[in-house]
Amino acid sequence: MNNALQIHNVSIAYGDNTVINNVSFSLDRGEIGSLLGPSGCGKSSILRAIAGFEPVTEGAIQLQGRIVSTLLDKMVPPEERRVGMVFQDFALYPHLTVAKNIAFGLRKLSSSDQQQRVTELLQLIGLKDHADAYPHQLSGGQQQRVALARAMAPRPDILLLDEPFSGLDVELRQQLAKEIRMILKREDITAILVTHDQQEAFAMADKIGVLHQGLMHQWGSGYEIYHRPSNITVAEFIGEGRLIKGKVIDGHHIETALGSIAGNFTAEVAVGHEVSLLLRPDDIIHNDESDNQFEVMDKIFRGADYLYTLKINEDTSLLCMVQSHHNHAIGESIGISLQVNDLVAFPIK
Amino acid sequence: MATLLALPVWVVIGHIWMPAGDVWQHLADTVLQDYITNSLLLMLGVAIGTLILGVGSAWLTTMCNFPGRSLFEWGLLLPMAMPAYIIAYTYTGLLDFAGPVQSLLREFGGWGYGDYWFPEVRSIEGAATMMSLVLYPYIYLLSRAAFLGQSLCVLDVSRSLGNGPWRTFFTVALPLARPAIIAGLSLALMETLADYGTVQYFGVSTFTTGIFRAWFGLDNAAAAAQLSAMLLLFVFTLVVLERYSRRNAQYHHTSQRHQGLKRYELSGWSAKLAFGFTFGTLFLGFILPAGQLLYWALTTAEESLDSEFLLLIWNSLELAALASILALLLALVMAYGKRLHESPVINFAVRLAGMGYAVPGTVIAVGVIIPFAAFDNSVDGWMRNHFDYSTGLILSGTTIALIFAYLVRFLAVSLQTVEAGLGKIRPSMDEAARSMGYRSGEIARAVHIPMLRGSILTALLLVFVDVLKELPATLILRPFNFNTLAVRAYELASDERLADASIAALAIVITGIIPVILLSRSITRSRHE
Repeated sequence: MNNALQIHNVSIAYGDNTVINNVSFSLDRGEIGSLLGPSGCGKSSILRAIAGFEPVTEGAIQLQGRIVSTLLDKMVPPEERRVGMVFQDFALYPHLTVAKNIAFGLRKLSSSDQQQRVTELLQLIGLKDHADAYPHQLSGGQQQRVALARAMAPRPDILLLDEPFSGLDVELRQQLAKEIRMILKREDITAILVTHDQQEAFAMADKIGVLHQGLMHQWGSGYEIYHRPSNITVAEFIGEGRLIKGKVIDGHHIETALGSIAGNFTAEVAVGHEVSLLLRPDDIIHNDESDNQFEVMDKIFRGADYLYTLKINEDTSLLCMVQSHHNHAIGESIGISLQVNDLVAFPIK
Repeated sequence: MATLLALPVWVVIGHIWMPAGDVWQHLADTVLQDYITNSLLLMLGVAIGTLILGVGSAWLTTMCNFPGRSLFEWGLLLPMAMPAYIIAYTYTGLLDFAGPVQSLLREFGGWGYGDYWFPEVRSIEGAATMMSLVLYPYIYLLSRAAFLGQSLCVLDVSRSLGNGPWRTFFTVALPLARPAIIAGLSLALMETLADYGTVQYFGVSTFTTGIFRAWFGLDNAAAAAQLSAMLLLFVFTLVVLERYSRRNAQYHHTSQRHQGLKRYELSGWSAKLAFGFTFGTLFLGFILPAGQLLYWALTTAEESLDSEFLLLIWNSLELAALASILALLLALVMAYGKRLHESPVINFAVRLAGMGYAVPGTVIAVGVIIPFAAFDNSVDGWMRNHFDYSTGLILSGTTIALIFAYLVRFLAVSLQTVEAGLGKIRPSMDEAARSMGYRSGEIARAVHIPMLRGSILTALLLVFVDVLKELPATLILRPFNFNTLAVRAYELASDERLADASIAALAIVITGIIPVILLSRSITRSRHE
């Protein structure tokens, strides 16, 4: 196994306050990972531990097979780790031009090699004409790309991106995430992105780790964490959807207020158990001929479609995405049918 | 180190309980009452004067458009370059009986001595006017920033609700700017309390002149220290007031944007009035006195510019350069210490070291000389006892004592500048450099020094100019027969040789313009960002 990065049972604490508890994951060379979680879940601490700015209190961090952090106080200092980092505030040097910022980590190269690498990167980030500009003359998105180029310039073993889009406009984020993914893939760079925005994580990452209160709840592809969440926390944090009560009838069926629903279980549940079943808006199809008619409690216009909240019974509701020319008033009833492939059900304790 | 720098203040405070004998009783019976009343009256006068000039000019230049507005925006800062004692000398020369104004009046009116009434410059009202003319920029600066900051969010609302300019000013802008105005006012009043040159020259007895008299006239250190302690009480009230109002001010400056600012277009009479008010302020506060100084300097240049004057300049520059470099080094050490090891102890120490700026030079001088003299005497005594050798005065009466006093008083200036500069270097910038293979020393060279260069230069300049202007501490602590520009200007003016004092005064004013330029440049820059 040629792991670019291996995090092995790592815990991180500030004083008595443990912010990361026994987290493990690994990335192959060229893979892009993402640590996703609400603010305060400790995700940035992992990044800072990889970079060498925070010690670990348990476990070990390996970069390219070399142990760089263990609890034995044998920390490799940040300057010897070959790690590139893109900061939330970009941390561009205001006294240096764009070209000099990018060349900042290249001082060990000859000046012609520096020149060449800088030109190459400016080309890559599409800022060839701004080589002599100062950071404050650039837009936020441009500064972001300069910060990325600067971190990439010394060809680090791994690139760490700490909420790199949080200071930017929403429209810009999606586009930059796509662009940056392309750049990273073209340069075959291993990278980790820390974010609280799942759309960003989906757009950028091959593997996503869902962190909550210092624990890693799931590590997998975007498809996996969305469609096969490993527990209720992940199910509630990722995407939209509602949990409805049901009872397991056999290996492929759950009896609910909507009738019997068929599909494949993503996790093992015992027959006869009471469960919570996750139903996402895309599991539910608008169908006027259906016998299942439910009252519209609420609706949100989203452009291409409406997100309707349907009342199943007193304490259960469903979310249903319907093309927006199907405009129904609140109080009206609409018909739905289900198209569920994976039954995501969690036993009720 | 910080503790050492706070020493003078502690010495002065410590003397509150020391018996000063009959002298204190004598002071309390006779002049103390005068000191307190005069100081309070002076503060009241300066408060009224600076408020009208400062707030008025700030409002006009930020919220109204009239001919010359952008020029006045920075021009109104120029009086800061004029120390109060220098403007006092100049106006005395202009307005006293033999001065050009009264001579002209007599000529036109055909009056003789005693035939007409003319306000006496050398009075408490005169002193308050002089100080108001040069201290209003404190209020101008802070209230201007406040007006700019609030414009977008609330002033437009008031206007859209149908309030006219005057109503908006009194019901919205003024109350909102109040914390900033009070902060500026307390700074101006601290300077008023610290002033020695003006009140001494005008014969107004206040605490500072009282301290001098107790020190030089009555030769009673304890009484001087006790007067100093009382003065400190006044000052600390102002410090608390300033801190308190600034704490509130933070909440008011939530939005710093002011692109939406739409000025009232003034025309006709109102434009003329606005122009007249701002121009009048600037004219009386800077142009007239500076012009008079220049005129005197030109007429006396030949006889005054001798080797003695060169020595004066050399002394002043040497002291100012030495003090500013030392202050910078100290400030760097402290600011870095605070940055690297954030802890309550260090924060407190840095705060403590920065306190000196509020303390009047007279008080610092007294606080420096008492322990230094005690040290000298005990070393001398010890040496005489053991080696039969007299060391004499080692510290007191030397430039060391003087420079120490300057450090106590002006360290805050360089500390503030350096801290502000260091604050712009965010921790992530250090971390970025480390992740790119830089070690601490290399980070300092590649990132910190180039980024701090401007602040370092500013810190040096500001302290340099402040030291050059400083009068009372220099007067008390200077070595025998050691003169600086400020001291010389004071001495000559005291001898009624106003014209001869002008070259030294003009040199001080010209160097004083440097920080004004720096300040106005940083203001314009902050507006463009």
